[in-house]
Amino acid sequence: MSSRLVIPELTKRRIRELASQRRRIDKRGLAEFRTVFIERGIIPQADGSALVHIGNTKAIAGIKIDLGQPYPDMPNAGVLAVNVELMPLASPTFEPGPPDERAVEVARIVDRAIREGRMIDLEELVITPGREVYVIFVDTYLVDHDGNMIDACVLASVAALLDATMRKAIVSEGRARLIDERSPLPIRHYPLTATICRIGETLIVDPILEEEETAEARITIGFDEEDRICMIQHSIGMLRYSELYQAINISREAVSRLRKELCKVFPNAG
Amino acid sequence: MSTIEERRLVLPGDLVVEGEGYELGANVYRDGVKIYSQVIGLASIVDNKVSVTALKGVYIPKRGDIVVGIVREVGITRWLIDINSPYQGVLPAVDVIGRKFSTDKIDLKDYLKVGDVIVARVVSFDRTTDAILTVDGKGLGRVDNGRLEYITPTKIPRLIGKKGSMINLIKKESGCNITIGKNGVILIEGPSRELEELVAELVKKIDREAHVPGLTDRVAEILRSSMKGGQV
Amino acid sequence: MSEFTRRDGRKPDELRPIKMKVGVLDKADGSAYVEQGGTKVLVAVYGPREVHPRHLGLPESAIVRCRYHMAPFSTKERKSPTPTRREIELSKVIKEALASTIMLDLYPRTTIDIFVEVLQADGGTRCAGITAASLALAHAGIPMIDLVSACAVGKWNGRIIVDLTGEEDEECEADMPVALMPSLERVTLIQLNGRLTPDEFLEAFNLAVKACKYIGELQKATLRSYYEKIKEEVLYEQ
Repeated sequence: MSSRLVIPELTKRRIRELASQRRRIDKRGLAEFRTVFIERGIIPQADGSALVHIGNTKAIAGIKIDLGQPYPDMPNAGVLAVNVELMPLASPTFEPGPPDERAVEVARIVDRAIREGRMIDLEELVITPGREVYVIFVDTYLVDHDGNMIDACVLASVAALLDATMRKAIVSEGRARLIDERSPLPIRHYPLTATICRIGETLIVDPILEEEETAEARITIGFDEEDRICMIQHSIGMLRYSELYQAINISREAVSRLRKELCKVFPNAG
Repeated sequence: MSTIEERRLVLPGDLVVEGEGYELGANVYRDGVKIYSQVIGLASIVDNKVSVTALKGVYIPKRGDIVVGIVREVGITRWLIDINSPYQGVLPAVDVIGRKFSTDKIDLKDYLKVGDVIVARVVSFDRTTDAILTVDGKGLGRVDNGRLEYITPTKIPRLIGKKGSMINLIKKESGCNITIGKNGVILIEGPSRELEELVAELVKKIDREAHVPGLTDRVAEILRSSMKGGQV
Repeated sequence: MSEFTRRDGRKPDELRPIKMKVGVLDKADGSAYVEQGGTKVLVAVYGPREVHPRHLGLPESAIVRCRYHMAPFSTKERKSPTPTRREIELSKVIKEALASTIMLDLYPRTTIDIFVEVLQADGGTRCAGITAASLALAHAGIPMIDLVSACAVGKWNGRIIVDLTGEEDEECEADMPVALMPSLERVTLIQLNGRLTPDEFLEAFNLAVKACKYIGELQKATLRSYYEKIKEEVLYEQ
């Protein structure tokens, strides 16, 4: 809906006023996600895929799995490569071209949530140590941007990985060959994130675009299914120490609610 | 409340004073009853007005300021002037040539070219536009002689001194004509190159030592010994 | 507990030796150099100055641009000078960690450019970069609400430790760079790579606060001594 480049000051003022009364412009609770929709397997060509909506924000993730060489410094681990594209069709403010700093930041957040959250046991992806491993490409497209692109991209990427299967490998004469028999990925944990914005002195979860543009600070916190913190990215604005602690608690609750949505599609994810 | 002129060195985030009834001057901000510095500088409280004189900072044009600028670009109807500021100066052609001129007959390069130095006055500026300059007035216009020296713009009050004491002392002892551009560019024109160099050295000294007490005395001493030593 | 030792013999809450200097570059409006153990970072600040291209300028405030860059010789293996995704992300987070402390509305249509050059990398380069950049911004006379101090904390061999070396960083279970304004008690950057329980997070954050307080005092002493040294020299000459 929104194709505005500049959020009107009137709207921002309204959002600030409401926040000071602990209310929101779309009548949601402060710690409430918008309606979440998850659909798996939307791209049969891919080894795994998912489409997610968080309100009007939509992201598609596709997984492709190939054989390749491990990183020289990690001969005993498969390779995970995460790429995020902010598609020009998602917002009038996105331009075609190589990923800008926003896209790079989101990609690195998604990568860290998956990698540091130990979602995939990369050591299970080694075929010949130091020589041949599985390479998992996660390509995540933001296709409609109405705020909170980070949580949408993390959710889409995680769902696509849960949806993915990999072909089995047969090694003969030192070389691996993929056959048509498939197995699920070695999934160990289920990281998810919740993004929080501070407007005045009020913290809100899952900001819509107008809230994001009004916010003075933003922090994204990831948790695994055992409630361990597995990713933090606070890079915009200032937070009091007490607000940081509060953000940890709020995001933990929000993530556990988001997890229930994920479990509807992937019952193991909680 | 009192008037304290303590000139204490403060840093960004340093508490300058705490209490009710103070007025905010330059380079400070308030958080509740606490007033903090936002720059490195010398804090003072005069008539309950709390301010910090910054030891470093850029020049922001102000209407009426005299500036020394350098022509950086010659246009068809105006010159763009480097005024040692984040904001550039614009000198309209009509200001130099007069009301009536035709752009196809006149080449502005014939009047001022890139690199030329001018003394100008700021006619208008509001941070949304460039600073509009004029050279119409006594002592304004192109400069063909002398030497330029630079000083941190925030330290110009030290160069001038109380009621002009410092600059008048330097002018009188050295015999140099000194134009202080509020933008931190100082034009020195004197009877000899040596005297111009001497004044330039003093400007640099004031820039470096603005926060050290006894500056006027040190400058006076240098002037006295140099002039006596026959460095003319 | 007392058995616990780090590779370089430090205690869990012990920082590496830190050296700071401001005014190390002649042409820049502000500059600083910070050494924290083997990590060496040089920062230059230019501005507020005109934005090029001009359409990038904002009508109501200054913009901040930052380039965090690792010199090819800063690492054991030569690092290609082309910016990596990591450098692009760190440039952005360093910029954001500092921008919220600067009075940007005083200089509409201008830019403040921060160049962070890592000369030698041995852990905590973004934090040393932020510490140095805040010094350089102050030295440039740019109005800000407070200095920003930064330090990494992490979990290594099951213990929460401060100021990780490059080696500790590679081996650790979690590392968490933190930047804050110690006297105003505001966080401007926090990132976590790795896993921590909420209790471990609190312990780590409190350790970071303690470390940043100390670094903040060093920053203030460094800026003071820059001007006091001139004063001493002048008075000595007399």
